[in-house]
Amino acid sequence: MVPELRKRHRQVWRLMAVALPAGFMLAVLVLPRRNFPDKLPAPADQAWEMAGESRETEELAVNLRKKAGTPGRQLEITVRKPFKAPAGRIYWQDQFVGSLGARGIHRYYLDSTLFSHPPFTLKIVDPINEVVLQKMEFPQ
Amino acid sequence: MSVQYSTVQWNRQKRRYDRIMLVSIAVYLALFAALQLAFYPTVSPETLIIRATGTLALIMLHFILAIGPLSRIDSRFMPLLYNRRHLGVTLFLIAAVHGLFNIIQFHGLGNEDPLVSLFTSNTRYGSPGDFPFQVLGFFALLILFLMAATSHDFWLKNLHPKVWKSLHMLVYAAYALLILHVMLGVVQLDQSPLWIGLAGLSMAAVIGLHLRAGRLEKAGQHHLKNADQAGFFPVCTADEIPENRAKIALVDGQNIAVFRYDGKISAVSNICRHQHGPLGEGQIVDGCITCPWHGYQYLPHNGQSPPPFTEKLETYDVMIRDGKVWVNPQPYPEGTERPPGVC
Repeated sequence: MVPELRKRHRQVWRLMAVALPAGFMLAVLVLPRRNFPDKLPAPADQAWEMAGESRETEELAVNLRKKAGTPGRQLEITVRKPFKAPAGRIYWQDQFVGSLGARGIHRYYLDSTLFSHPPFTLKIVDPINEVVLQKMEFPQ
Repeated sequence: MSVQYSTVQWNRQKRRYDRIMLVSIAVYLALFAALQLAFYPTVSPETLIIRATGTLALIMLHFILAIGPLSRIDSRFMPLLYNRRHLGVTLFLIAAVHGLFNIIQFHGLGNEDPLVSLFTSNTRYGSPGDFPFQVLGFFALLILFLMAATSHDFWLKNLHPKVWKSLHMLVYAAYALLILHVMLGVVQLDQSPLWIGLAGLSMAAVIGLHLRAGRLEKAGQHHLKNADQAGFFPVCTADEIPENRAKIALVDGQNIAVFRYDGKISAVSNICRHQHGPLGEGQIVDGCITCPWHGYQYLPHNGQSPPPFTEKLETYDVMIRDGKVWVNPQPYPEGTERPPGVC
């Protein structure tokens, strides 16, 4: 390599040594901006009893389920047809609940605190394009 | 080395190297798929392909960027440098699969044209947390395409090595774009300390290697001073040059490689005609100066490539006085035979 080219390489990497870690740190610093709960509710395997609230679309069937002696409810989402987006984030009352990734039945436990101010809103958001894929309201 | 263009210049070493590369890629993809299916059993095949090719392309780019400084720090890594081109083209193909599947999956099913959707679905360019990171990946892929498309010697010859090298230095811009693509993309979505740690460590390793190699090179440069009345500059004592190796000297804008072989000393341009490789960092093999980058060869006493090859280097006058090597930085036309100095 000719000396001028080597010099250019050195200059580029000196610049990269400053700029790249700066960009890296910036990306890390904006991480806490998102409001995620400390611990996500674990997806449940067993279906509870129907609580009387259901919604259906071409792509989804959504049920709210309850269980005697348990204050919260179970959110059951059946993905019938694949979404146009590969992944969807589920928000209940703007609280992140979990992610939808594939066809099938997905169940999530919703704490009783999420049922204090009706009506309740379920949103499924494409995290890449920040587009609301589905929005449903539950009166109570 | 070749006297005519061929699609791929295979030789035994390149075939072996490419086999190792392809087997390693296959093993990585198989392992990645197995782990993904174990930890995320509902993952779709498209998402699996996107994740596997994305991580593989990033690992390969780090490896490619480390080869240059590693081979300057330790010559045992040189064989990797000879074969870096095939690795680069393979990297582009893998990155292209990643990009294509992303565009189809994230932008291919809407009303908009997929490429328009890529640039318009998220326009929050002012927000680091919501930055449209896919655009960064798109431009990085564009650079990788340009590099892969012009990687052949045909383009090297027709674009001129200086332009070609400058074009291929864009890989550093592609690297910066990809680091930000990862940090503003998957890291923001997953927030996994594992991704953050791996990205940070690998970035620090690549930057550290390049800075270290740069420091070593600068320290190793030998600027000549104090010419005698005939215009000869003292280089070093003849004993300081190992047999079949060279000392590199910079003087009056000339970059000279002074080789010792068979009890003789000859000086030629340090710049290989192929890709401007540093001939003085190579050695004499079978009586020929052999470029450490891609094996182009030249005879030390006249700077000519052995027949049927036609590349030629400038030559310089050399003399030995009291055991000391002196060189005149006035170059002779390419391929001019000059009598070697005798030790």
